[in-house]
Amino acid sequence: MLRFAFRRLLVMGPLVFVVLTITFIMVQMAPGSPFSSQRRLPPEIEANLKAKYGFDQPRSTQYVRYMGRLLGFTYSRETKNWTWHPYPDFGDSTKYKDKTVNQIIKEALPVSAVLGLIAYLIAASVGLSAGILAAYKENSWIDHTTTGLSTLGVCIPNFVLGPLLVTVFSLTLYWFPPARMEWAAEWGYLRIPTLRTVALPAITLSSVYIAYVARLTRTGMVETLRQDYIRTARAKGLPEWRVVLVHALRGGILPVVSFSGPALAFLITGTVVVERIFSIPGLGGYFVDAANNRDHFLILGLTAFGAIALMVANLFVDMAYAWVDPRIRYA
Amino acid sequence: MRQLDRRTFIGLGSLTFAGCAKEGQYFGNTLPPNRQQLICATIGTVDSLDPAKSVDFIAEGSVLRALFEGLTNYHPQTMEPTAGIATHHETSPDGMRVTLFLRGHSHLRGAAFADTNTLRSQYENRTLPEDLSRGHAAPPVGVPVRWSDGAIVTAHDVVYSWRRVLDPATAAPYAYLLYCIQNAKEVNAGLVPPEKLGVRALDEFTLQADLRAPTAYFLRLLSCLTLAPVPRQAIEAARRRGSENSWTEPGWIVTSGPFTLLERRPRDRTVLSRNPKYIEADLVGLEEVSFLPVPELAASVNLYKSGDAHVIAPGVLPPFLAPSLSGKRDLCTAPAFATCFPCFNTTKPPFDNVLVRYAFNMAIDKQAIAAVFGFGRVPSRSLVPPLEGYKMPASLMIEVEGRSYDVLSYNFTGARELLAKAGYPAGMDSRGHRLQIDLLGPNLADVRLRCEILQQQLQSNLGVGVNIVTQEFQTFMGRVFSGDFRGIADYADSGLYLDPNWFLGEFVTGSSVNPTGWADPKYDDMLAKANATLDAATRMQRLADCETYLLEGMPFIPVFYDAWAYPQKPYVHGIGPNLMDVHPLKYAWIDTNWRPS
Repeated sequence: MLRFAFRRLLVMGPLVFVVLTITFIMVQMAPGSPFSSQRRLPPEIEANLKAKYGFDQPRSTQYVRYMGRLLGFTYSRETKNWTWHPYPDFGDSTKYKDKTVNQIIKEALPVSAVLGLIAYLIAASVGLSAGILAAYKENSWIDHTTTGLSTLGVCIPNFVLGPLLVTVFSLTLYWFPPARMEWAAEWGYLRIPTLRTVALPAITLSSVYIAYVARLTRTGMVETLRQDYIRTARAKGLPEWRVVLVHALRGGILPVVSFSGPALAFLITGTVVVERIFSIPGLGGYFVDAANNRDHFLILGLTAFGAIALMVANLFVDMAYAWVDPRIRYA
Repeated sequence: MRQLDRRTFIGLGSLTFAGCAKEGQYFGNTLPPNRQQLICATIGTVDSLDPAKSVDFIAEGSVLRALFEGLTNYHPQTMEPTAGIATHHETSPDGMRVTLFLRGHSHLRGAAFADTNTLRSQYENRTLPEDLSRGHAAPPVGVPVRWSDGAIVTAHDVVYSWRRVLDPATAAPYAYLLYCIQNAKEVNAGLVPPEKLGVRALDEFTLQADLRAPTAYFLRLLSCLTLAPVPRQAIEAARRRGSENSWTEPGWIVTSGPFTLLERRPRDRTVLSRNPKYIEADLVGLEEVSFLPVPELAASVNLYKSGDAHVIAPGVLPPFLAPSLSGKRDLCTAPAFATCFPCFNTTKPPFDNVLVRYAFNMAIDKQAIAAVFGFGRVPSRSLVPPLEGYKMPASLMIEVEGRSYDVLSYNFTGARELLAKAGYPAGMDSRGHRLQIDLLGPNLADVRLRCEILQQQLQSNLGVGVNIVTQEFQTFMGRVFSGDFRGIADYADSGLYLDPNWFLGEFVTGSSVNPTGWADPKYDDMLAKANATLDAATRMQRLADCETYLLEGMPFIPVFYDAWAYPQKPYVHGIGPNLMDVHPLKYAWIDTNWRPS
């Protein structure tokens, strides 16, 4: 297992490098400049800005300097030397002039991670419960209701569900705030949102996954509950809850585990829309802004981060798969 | 059919009831907070707290003005320069040298700027509706302004700040505001060192600036944020720490304004707290101000409705909110010093022919467009928005083949005749095909609406075919300024200082903010001569003549003069709508006992 994980981690480095190279080329090809605002700048001011961020250099030089910075080597224009530091430096943001990309990611990542995790936990718990119940009471009204609500959950996109929830629960009932997050606890960069402010975004984000997880669980459980070893377990006299939740679930949960990989991917990208609707200061909002503002270094930094996060998540999912089902072997 | 369960009924009933809540005269929740804490939802994030590097004065203006005192400030209603760090000014008879006397000066000369005492007397003679001085007197002119770390703000700080703005290494986006000073342009281009800039400190509290040419609007420039003095000690300390940009972090920042920085998270919130070392600290009513950046307009209006925000800045509410907000007592509107004027590309056919440009301008019903956009927008015939002392051209008679047309008016019959005379009778070109033009716009909601109205009017009034091309904002800007479009590009501009030269100077040959490709050396000469005029009234007259000449070239279609519109809770006093949408927070306070009457 460890060898498997180590091999996957080794592949990650070159993969991120390839992703960044492609992104670098695409960002350079995009029309528009990071420095145009409502009013165009005089040419000498634009030249000053370009020189400050190194955009006046030829593209190959910019590429080499950028990759060097990621490996820890920074080139200084004033002293014309390279210095080494033990961490990757993603550069300065052209839009948020007071902040470096490292700082932005450090501040925003915990917010998105916490929100995504809460949404995933809601999806897993509600979806699993609904799926198990639907499978157990197959073809009853519970089963039909759950299936119907799942279909609805998949059909309603989160940019429709979000504002709908806001209209009902925020602006009419005043139970939750319509946007923004408040923090219940903070340890350094890690911030935990209050229940009142995380409820609507988490429900909006998790709605699609509740539906998928419920359907997948139901399918897996229906099949598993028909197996011979379940009949054996019942015949042995085990309590029903133990038969379903310990013995049957272990087999029935496999589709959910394999779906978790893409689900985490969707969660990462889904936060972009939800964070915009609810004005949450997470990575998703920065993604959109960075692209709109042609913030070169922020785009590259966020893409690198997204790629690494996705690869690590998929690695965990594959390891969990092997742990849940001992029949699966890794060479 | 199954009977409705009692529980279901109550649930549905309460939802219906909630939807039928009575519409009040205020928009949303009007319960005031119980402390002097103002919450402002800003559309757009606060990108930089360094006045020299700030780009978006509209979103960041309120925050930066609260932190840094300028040499002058805007009068809350008339936008005239009022005393900030400078109290008196003197201009030499030839207009080439301006001397400013800062607070702390013992031998004053020259004319005084208005101050808090002026605000009180304006309230007493009914010019202002509210006593913004709230019983406080202006501080004596001999008392200097201090930084929040106790050091005195001197003329040397101002010289340092202006040199820093023009230093190419700072890459300040609005450095061109200082180009009226001698050697400023050369310093910014890196040709001469910043020490050669035509600004000097004669002593601790006297600043002298040498201008390239007489600049009538120089005193108005002093209220712009780029020119605000910055704390040299904090910047140099940050440089020694290894990161110059960190000087604006809470804990390191040093401010001279009514507030200081408590917390700063770019997309989350920026919190300011009262600065007890401010020169007029006893006037400041608020304890704390929070700025919440909310990129979605709808979300910010929702926050306002639920009472989680007390005011929205800037005042750019979209037209689709007009029905919900019009008639509410907490809606604030004011005319803006801004114009919407879609531009022609005069270097490519068919708009290289001035008759076609006249025809298109005369075919647009601007009254209808202004009515759709609402919130007090005024249809325009000329470029420069209404300004006191400036008489804008109201009509322009051009004679074409023996007939006279007022090319600034709405006259689609005349437009069709002009189009025919230009070679496109009934909108058809010489080969019998319908004339097709592109109407370019960025992908913003209200721009799309405007493009659709223009398209409909041009198609029905002139019979030409209009093709709307919507592009992402950056792509649009790149395309327009490289002249790579054939037709009309939606464009608008708002002035950073109150003078017609802001708009008229855009069309000088070689200007980088001219998307039309129109240039005329005679216009350049007229404008230079007008700006060199020392007498204010004559200068305004000459500028109006320049505008008339520009309108004869008609490189754009003036559509409407813009307006600010935003909601503000009725319990927030001291700030209100004005021409530049400036909210000086030192006058603001909250009536914690407010109840609807």
